[in-house]
Amino acid sequence: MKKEYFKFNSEKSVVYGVIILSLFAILISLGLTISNRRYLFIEKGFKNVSSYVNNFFVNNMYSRYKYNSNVITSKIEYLVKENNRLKESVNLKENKNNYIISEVINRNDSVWSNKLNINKGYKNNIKKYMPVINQEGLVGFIGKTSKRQSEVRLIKGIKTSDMLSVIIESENTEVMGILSSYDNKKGLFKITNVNGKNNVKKGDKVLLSEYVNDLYGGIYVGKVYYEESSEYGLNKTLWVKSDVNFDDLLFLTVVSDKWYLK
Amino acid sequence: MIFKIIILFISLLLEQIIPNLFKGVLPFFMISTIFLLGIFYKKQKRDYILVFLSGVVYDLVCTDLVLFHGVIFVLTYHFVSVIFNKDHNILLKLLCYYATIFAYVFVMFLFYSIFSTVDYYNVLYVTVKSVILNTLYFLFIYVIFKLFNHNDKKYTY
Repeated sequence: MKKEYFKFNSEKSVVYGVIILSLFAILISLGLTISNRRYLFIEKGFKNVSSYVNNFFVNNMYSRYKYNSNVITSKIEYLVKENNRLKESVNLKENKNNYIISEVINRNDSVWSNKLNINKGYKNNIKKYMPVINQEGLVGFIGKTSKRQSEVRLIKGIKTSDMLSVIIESENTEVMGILSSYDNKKGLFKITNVNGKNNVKKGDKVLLSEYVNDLYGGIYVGKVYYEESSEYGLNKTLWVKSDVNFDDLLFLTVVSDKWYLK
Repeated sequence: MIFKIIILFISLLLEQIIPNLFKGVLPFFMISTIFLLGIFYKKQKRDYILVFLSGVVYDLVCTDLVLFHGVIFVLTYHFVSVIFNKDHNILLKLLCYYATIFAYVFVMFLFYSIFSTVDYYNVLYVTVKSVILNTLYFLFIYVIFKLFNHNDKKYTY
């Protein structure tokens, strides 16, 4: 019996080998996905090729939108220049914020991991953690970047490990709070640690504060939908509704810190 | 072999382009091609390697993962080629294709739930919404495999 037990069975060993290798591959994949890494060299190459292909189709598909985007880009560039010139004339500081308009080219991952890909990369001065907005408010932040493509981490994928400091613009005062999570069922953002004494009303604007990054200051997140008192009335929890339709994103704007012209 | 590579390449290309053209759609073209490869070309060593490589390329192009789809595609190919025969009814194949899709969605959901917040209502909604598109592609590839699969002559229907 013992001999049979220890007998080498090639088919079984292949099955065990495959199972072990599969688990190993899944663990590597999990580790690389969770870790705060950059794109691997080979990934960059493939992402560049895919961005070329997607750009070709997206540009042909949304030609009308492209026209609009070009018009908007040139208009923004003109207004920023004019604004800076006017500020210079009254000895004010030049506005260094700049907006890079990009197109969404890959939505495959958005259903699973709240990530999108846009057609601008580090070649266009896009860097990690830059805020991404559209006309309706904050959309997310830049994750990984390659030469011609960047990953946008949607704000609705926010976790308690990367909370954001926000300001609630009340009638007379500005109230601080922490944007901590997103409730998929309700479709609302949760803001915690709001001082219970402050009078916050439904419809008050919620903006990002400059506390984490200068670029984030003043970016519109949404409006207060309702409030809940927590911890014996000392703190409040606010539920905020964003105007952004995360399922229908075509063009996104990256708020960049350096002057950039197309 | 070249024929299989071309079909896999077209599936990969379409899987990347389709979500840009039709928003709110989740194509499972690679899964359908691998499912049919498992039916028409059973347990071929070369196909295991091809399917694994296509999974790796899929991850590099479409997702943020590494190697994950390589493993998933190989397992799909293996189970389909063990369970299925070419002689089975097309409706049964189609039903099992849907079952494979939902199994894949479930595995992906479990995997992503470890490190991300997945909106399962949305996933289910998008999957169901994409059934027609995926069925059409499945039937299209099925017809192509039927036409170009020379081993068919050995079998009697």
